[in-house]
Amino acid sequence: MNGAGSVRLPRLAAALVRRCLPADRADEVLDDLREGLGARRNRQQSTTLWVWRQALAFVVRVPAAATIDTWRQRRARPAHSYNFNAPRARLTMEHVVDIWMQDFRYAIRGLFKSKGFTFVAVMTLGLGIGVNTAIFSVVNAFLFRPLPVQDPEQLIVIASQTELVEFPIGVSYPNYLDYRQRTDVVQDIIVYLPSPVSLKDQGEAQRAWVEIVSGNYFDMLGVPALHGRTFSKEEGEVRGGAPVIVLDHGYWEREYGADPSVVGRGVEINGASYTIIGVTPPEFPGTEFIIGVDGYISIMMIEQLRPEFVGVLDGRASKYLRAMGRLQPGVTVQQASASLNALADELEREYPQANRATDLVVVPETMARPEVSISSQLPVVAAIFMGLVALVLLITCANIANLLIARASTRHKEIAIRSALGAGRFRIVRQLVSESTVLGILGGGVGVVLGIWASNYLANGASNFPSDIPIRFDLSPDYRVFGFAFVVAMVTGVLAGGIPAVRASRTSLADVLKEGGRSATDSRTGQRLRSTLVVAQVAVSLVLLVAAGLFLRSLQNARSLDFGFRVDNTLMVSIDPTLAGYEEERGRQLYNDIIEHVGVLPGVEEASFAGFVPFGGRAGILSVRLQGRNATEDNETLSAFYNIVGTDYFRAAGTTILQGRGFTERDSADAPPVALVNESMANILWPDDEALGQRLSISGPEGPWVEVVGVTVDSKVLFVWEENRPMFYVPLEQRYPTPATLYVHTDGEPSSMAPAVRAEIAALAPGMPVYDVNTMQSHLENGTALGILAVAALMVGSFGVVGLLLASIGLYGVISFSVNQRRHEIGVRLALGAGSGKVLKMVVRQGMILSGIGMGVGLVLALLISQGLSNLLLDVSGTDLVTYAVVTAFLTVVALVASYLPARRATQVDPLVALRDG
Amino acid sequence: MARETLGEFEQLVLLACLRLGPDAYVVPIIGEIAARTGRSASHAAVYVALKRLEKKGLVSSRMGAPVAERGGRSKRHFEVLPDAVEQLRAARDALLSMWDGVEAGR
Repeated sequence: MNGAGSVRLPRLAAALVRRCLPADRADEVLDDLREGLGARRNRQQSTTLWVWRQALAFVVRVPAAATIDTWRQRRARPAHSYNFNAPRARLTMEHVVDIWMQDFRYAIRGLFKSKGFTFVAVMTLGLGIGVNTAIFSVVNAFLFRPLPVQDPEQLIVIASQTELVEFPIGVSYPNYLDYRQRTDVVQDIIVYLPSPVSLKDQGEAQRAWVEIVSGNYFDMLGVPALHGRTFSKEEGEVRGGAPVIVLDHGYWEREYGADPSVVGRGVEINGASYTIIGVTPPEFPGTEFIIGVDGYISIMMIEQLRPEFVGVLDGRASKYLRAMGRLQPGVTVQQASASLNALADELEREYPQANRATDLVVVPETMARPEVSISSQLPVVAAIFMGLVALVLLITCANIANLLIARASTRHKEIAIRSALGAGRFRIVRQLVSESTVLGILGGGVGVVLGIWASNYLANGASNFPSDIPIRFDLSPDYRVFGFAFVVAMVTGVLAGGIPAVRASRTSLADVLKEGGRSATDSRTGQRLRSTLVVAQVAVSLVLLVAAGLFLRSLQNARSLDFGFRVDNTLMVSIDPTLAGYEEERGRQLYNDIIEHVGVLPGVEEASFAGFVPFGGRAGILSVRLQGRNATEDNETLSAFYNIVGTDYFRAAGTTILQGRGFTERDSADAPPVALVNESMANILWPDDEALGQRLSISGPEGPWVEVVGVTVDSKVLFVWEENRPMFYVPLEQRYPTPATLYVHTDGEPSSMAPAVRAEIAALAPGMPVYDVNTMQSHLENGTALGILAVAALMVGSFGVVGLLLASIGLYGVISFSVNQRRHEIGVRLALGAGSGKVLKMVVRQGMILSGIGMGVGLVLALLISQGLSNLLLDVSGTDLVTYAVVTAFLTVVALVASYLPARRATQVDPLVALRDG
Repeated sequence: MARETLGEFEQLVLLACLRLGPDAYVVPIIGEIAARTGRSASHAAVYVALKRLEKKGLVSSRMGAPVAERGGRSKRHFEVLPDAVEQLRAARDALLSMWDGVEAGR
């Protein structure tokens, strides 16, 4: 009898059997097989077929028996049992949940086993979901999150649309009283106006911001005081009779260490005595979406608080107040709008002068952020950004799908066995999809952490925005953000896992065995699918990079823009004499003294005051009439920006005077009133005439008439992308501005002059709060001028980088995988004398073809999508050649690197090893 | 838990073991089944059945002495435990009682 020791089993068959068995049993079983084989040989029976049948039997029966045993055990346990072969009709909800739980448990176990894969997949998903969560939390803060007050869905914002400016403005107090009394569509209406004040408890006076509010403010919102009380009825009705303040919770914590006994304490506000009557609850952020106010004062004190607002409570034309209403239950926004506009028409008939062509804009409170004047643009911007991050998510999905395809290919055997055991395709797909869903959920967890971190970063950035106004930008996540992240994670999981799962479920047992030990991985369709995904990734990341490039180009253009004033060597310092209790005469004296002292400091070329600063978030607009023309016709009045400026302003600010002269000492309060106009205004008003010597009125049809003595260049006022707007300048001596900003033109680095300038002001006006000390350069870079573009470029750029990173990983993965698959072929080529350069070229070519197709598709997509961006761009067309060329070149280099690395590995294939293993 | 009845193949394996005595191992078990029933069982089937029986406490296994034919390695021998004998009897009784009268009436 032939000993088992001398009988050899085919290596592959032995390996297959060994893989099916526990290590401690494999040897004896193989010995048994050898003995059996030997016996057959002795009996001269066929052996080859027998060996393979035995091996196959192990491959099928051993795992099958294990599975069946597990099922039997489970069936032995009550409640947890489910017979998978039972008719469908017997499926109960309990069973379904049970099966899903099984799937998930299995998925978690499987993922835990391949930690490397899981880590990469979860991090990739985390990145994609994180970017989406961050942007969504911004969108959520602006568009979705309701005010934390009683029944916030009933709140509407009411604004006036007049012919004066293109965007909606506030309402006047007398009109507000009529809206409140003469309509029944709203329960109540409040008005409010943020205002800087000088607040002094003990020690130095501080510059603070308060909300000047109607007496019913807290009652209408349904916000009770945390400590003390809110305004009484009298405090909301008796003019000048409410020297009281309700402190904001944050200010109370900051300044008073959350001491409840401050209620009843006296403070000094703009030089007058006030009493603290209460503190707001911590969750109440106020009705200013983006301004963090420090307290609330009754509107009955507005004339005492802000002398320039004297008469505002009676001025029907003074439409400065923001208004918010609470709808009656069951009344829609449209109904309220119709009813309020009917009332507005009545009021227009009753007061034709003050309410000329005044319509009301009525929108839900969530649609009026951050301010009703600009909120109509917001959904568009939100949609663009959400669209861009959705593209990042798409790349992420493609990457995960790619990883899963590669992984599924190493699991063909498992899948084949499961299906051989009777698992239906649906069941296998479900199993694989639950795996990717688990990945999605894990990635969602990472994404939420990353997203919250990123949105905190954004919120901090916003709070440090150089602005006189205290920015409060609350991006803290709420259930919407978490819900969004969860849904995105689930969708990503199903989307990324679905395609590979359906594909993998097609595996047939026969194919697996036919392809033998070499993983049955890369049937051609798999490779094709992965290639398609890579093409899509490259295409989408090109789109993102083009978008980022267009923003960068806009930023570049904005930097080199002619603003109409000097950007370098300019220091700005703001003061507000009124808040420090200076009346006009002392204030003027102070302005003059400051100019005199600062102007002679070494290093200072010129110094001058101005009432407004470009891109300062505050701008003056006045209605201008021309003398000698019929002023009742609409086209004879023009709304124009204006600025009140000192003598040397045009030199100090670097604004060129084209014609005529600037202001001099002779343009005093008693002298004939004069003005300069900018080029645009001159062209609009006197297209055919000389502007110099023309006369206009800014105080109504009766004059006084102001003579135009000069024409300046156009300059930017609010936004870099604005068209040139009509603007005029009046001399400081003839109109008193408060607050005012000192422009200092230096011959060196402007910020180094700041201490000296501060010291001069402190010496002249001890205790005067000095704020917004900034160079023009940094004011533009960080403020509304370039800051917004920079943030947009940074954000879209980071989407692009994330996308590129993922796409290059995807490309690298596909090429590496294909190199692995073609090792044998490459080995043969090398053995037959192909140079390594040739192999390198062959592999790199494959990568470049894929990325080339991707870039082609991406270019077309980018051309389409950039049309949507064009509103946000500055002097760049959506088809900017430079951007497209640079991005394409950059992507090409990245694609080259991503395919070069695996290609180099291909050249290092040892032909001997490749041939032997193949 | 209701006691599980033996499967048909399990009965064959157990009976082969009993017939072969204390030296039973996979190869002769297959041979015995083939010789008596004409059924060719695969190594995998016998392996799985023995493993399952062992788990149920119906057979025990031990490694034999090293044998030269196996290059100094030893074989795993299987021994039928009393529980199995009892179950085999029960299975035979059940079958016989079912047969009872069927054959006679034919």
